[in-house]
Amino acid sequence: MMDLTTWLGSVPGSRFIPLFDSNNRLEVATKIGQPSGRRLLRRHPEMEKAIIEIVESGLPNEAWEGLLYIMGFGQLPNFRPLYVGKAEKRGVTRPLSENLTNIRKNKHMFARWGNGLDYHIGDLSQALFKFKGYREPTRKFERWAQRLFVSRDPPVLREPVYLYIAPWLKGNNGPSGLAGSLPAVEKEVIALASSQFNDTLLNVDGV
Amino acid sequence: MAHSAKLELLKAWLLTHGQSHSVKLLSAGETADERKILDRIRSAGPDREYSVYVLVAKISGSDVPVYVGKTDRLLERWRAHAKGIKDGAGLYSHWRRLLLDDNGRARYETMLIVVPSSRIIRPPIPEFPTTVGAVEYQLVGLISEAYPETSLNVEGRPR
Repeated sequence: MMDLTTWLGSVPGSRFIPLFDSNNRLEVATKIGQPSGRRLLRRHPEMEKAIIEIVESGLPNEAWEGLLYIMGFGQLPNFRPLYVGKAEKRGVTRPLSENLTNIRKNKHMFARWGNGLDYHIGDLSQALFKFKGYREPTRKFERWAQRLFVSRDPPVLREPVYLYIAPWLKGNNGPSGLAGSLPAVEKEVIALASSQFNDTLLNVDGV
Repeated sequence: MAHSAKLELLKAWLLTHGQSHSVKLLSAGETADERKILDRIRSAGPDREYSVYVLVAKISGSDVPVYVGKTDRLLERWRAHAKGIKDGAGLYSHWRRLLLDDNGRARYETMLIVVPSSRIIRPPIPEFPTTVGAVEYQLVGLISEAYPETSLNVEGRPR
C-alpha cells in the first residue's frame, strides 16, 4: 500500500512545526482571550510564523489553492496523524476565504486554527475549560481533548503534537501520484490515514 | 493527463463493482415517486450491511457518477435522499435541479450501485485501502475532478 508518511515528506514546501506552546513537561501555556475572557490554549510561535509565511507568500500566486494540514503525534518518520484538514484560498461565497484574510491579525479564524468557536483552538479550549459560548462544547472536540491531553488543568499533552503544513499549488501530485485539487487530495490523504493510522485518526468521515 | 487518468480509474472501479451490485432507480421521464424508488432499492442488496453507494445518471449517453455515500442503513438513508430529490429543499436543491425537470420527472435514467463492505474487490486508486470509508473518499475525490459540473458531493468539490 502507498505509504502516506513517505508522500508527506515529498510535498514541496511542506514543514513540521510544534502546534502548541508547551514546556518540557508538555504542559501547554494558556492565556485569557480579550475581550471574551475565555481561557485559550496558546499556539506555538513557530506555528503562527509558519502559517503567516505560507499564507502571505501563497495568496499572490494564482496557482496557490490553500494549505493542507495534518495534526499528529511526533515527527517523520514516526509521525502519526490525528486530524487531516485544509484551508482553501477560495471561500464558499467569496473569492478569498475569510479564514485566510489579513492572516497576521486574524487570530479568530487563523487558517482554521483560530481562537474563536468553530475554529480548532477555540473549540478545543472550550472542550478543555468548559467556558460558555453560543453553544456547548462539541463531541468532536471532546474526542480531541481526550486523545491529546493526559490532564486538563493544567493542560498536559500525552505526547508532543506537531502540525504538518503543505502549501497546495495547482498541478501538485497527491498520494495517488496524480495531480489533484486541494479538496480531492485531502480526501486521498484521509483515505490513506484511515487505514494506516486507524488507531489515532480523529477524522470521522472517510474512515 | 491527471483528469483522464482519474476518469479511467473511476470507470474501471464502477465497471468492476457496478455490474453485479446495481439497480435502476428511475427511467428518463418517470415521476420521482419516493415509494417506487425505495421498492427498487430494496432489491439492491442487504439493508444493514455497511456499504458504499454511488448514484449514476446516464447523461448524454455516458454513465456519470453524481453522488457517493456510505451507510449501514441503506433504506433509511435513501428515504431521506428520495424525499430530498422530490422536494428539493436545502442542499437537495442541487439534486433536484440536476436530476428532475420542472414537472418533477427524471431528466435522465438513474442507477444506484450499492457495494457492501464484503464485496469490495479492489480500491478505486491502486495501492489505496479498501475499507468503505476510504473507498467513499477515493471516489468523492475522483468524481470531483472527473465530473466537477455534476458532482453532488459538497465535500471534495473545488470552490
